[in-house]
Amino acid sequence: MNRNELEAAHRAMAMSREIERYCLAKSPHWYAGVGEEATVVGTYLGLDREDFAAPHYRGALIIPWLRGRPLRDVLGCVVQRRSSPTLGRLYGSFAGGLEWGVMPYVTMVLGPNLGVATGAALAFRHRGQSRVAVASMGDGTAGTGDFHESLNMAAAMRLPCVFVCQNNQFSISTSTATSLAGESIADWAARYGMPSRRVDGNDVEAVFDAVGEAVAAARSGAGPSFVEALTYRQTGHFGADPAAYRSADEHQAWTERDPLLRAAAALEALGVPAAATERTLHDVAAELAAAAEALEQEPLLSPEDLDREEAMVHV
Amino acid sequence: MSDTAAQAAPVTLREAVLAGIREEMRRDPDVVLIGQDLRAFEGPLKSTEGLWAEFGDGRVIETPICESSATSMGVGAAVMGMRPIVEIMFSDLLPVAATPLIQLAANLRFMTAGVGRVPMVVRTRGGDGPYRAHPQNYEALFTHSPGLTVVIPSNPRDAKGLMKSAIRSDDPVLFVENIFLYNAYRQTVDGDDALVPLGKAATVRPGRDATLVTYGRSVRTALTAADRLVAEGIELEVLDLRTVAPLDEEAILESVGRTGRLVVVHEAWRTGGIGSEVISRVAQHGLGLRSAPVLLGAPDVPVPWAEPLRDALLPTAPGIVAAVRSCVSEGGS
Repeated sequence: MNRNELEAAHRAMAMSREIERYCLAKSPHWYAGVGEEATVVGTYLGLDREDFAAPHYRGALIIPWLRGRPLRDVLGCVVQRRSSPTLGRLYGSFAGGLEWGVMPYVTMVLGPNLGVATGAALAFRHRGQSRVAVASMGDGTAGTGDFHESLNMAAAMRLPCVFVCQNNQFSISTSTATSLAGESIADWAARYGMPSRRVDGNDVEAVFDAVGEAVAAARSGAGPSFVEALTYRQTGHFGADPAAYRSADEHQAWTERDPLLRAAAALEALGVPAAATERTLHDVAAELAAAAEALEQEPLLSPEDLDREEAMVHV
Repeated sequence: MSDTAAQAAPVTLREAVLAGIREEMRRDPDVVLIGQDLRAFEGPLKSTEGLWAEFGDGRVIETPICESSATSMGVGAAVMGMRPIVEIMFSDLLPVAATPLIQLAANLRFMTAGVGRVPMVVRTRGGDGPYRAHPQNYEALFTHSPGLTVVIPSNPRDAKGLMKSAIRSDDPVLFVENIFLYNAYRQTVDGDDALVPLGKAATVRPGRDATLVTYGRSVRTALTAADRLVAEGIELEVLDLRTVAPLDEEAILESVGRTGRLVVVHEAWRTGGIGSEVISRVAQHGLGLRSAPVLLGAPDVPVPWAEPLRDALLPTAPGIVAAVRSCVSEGGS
């Protein structure tokens, strides 16, 4: 990453952290993406606007923002006001934003969006476009049938698809190490005959570079690739989950490898003063607070909003 | 008249559906088929006969056996503006695709304030028939899924026009082709531009004494029963739902409002089925019936394999005659 890219990545990660903290404060049930920002931002920052994103649900609110969705609308997916982009229909972090080329996580079931990405890739190839579909999944998703079906189809059809595993090491409370057979998720993917590698998911540059290579390959017609980004979920499965199933030492070790700290250090190595990086954190926090305050003045969604014609299911 | 003139050669329901798909594929390059065994095998029961030969690999896309991900693939292609027809070989396999169908395709428009649309047809074959496997009738599971349109045609002419409408719909449609009817008889069908609207029932036989609401294979059985009832001086009105979700409530209420008697017949299970919903709608509208409504459907057992057992589950013309006769005599004239 050059300095501009890294600064943009750092700013996006800082904004994602603020968004997730805001959501955690709003709801103890929030599935937070704290700690996984480098994987999410590193995956989606380098894509073209016309590429299709089918993210995993955790930490995904930042992805439409990377493509230009105003912060107000990002938060609007969460706070259930009348201007909500989803009209309050869909759990906040699952909202996506198809107008920004980001698939919502509609099902609350792990797996179907991997197939959706293969379908988008099929459409791109059908029309002779050089667009790419990028899908993320958690390590929990790797245990589903849809994971294996979709990787197999993408490889067998050589679709312009990139799969990224946002491995935060937990399926709710179950550790990846004890629940998935085989050497690694990346190894599974390699057996479907696609290039596959494991990277440090708390290093935004490593994720950015690996996904960038995979996207370039897909765009050139070389078919799908797989990237497993090893990261860590710093919160419980949801905010109020005390995560009694893991050790304080483990948590401490991973908090010291926090992706924002890592990015700040990398920026400093490129000559960006620490004060400037600090200022970014303050700026995005202020930006979020202002957007949230304005939004919270709006009226809440009301039962009449159920009848809004744009969302009726039968024309 | 030339565009809508009847085609010369009568066709089976299978051929009619194929004709509808072929016309739409010629008309719109974004219409593609996705599923297993669609090319050289030409689909289960020859359901894709000739399509690969005409349209090639790019339009007839073969997948492994993975109904769930293949359906999700269809959703992804549809979200990107294509009009995929996802082939699920038989209705017994529908539960495998239930997640992407019910929770993804049907929900997307509602969940995205109308930004996301899924112009996808999921096509399958169901019901008992000469091909003695895969007979379970799961349509009611999918009518209980807001956002899905569920179509079950009873004749070749409707089948073609409904398939064309399904392909042109901007929302997902589950299209069930009855196996018994598949090659059962021929009928002339309408030409290129003839569509049959989704969500509209058809009065296939007018009558004054009782309303029989049905769909799919049972329409033929009901018409046979209606012929027999004429000798007894009973004029049975037969309403073919054609689309079982959303229900054409207006047509049902209009007919039952005139006749004052209601019999519902289907091949699928009685509990929680289309018939229960029809009777419920009539009741909720406070329509006073002259006799208790009758529901003829399968008992709550999985469709068995042995022919004498499975045949015993089907609605029959004598059974319908007896039910209607009892209804009419009970209610007086």
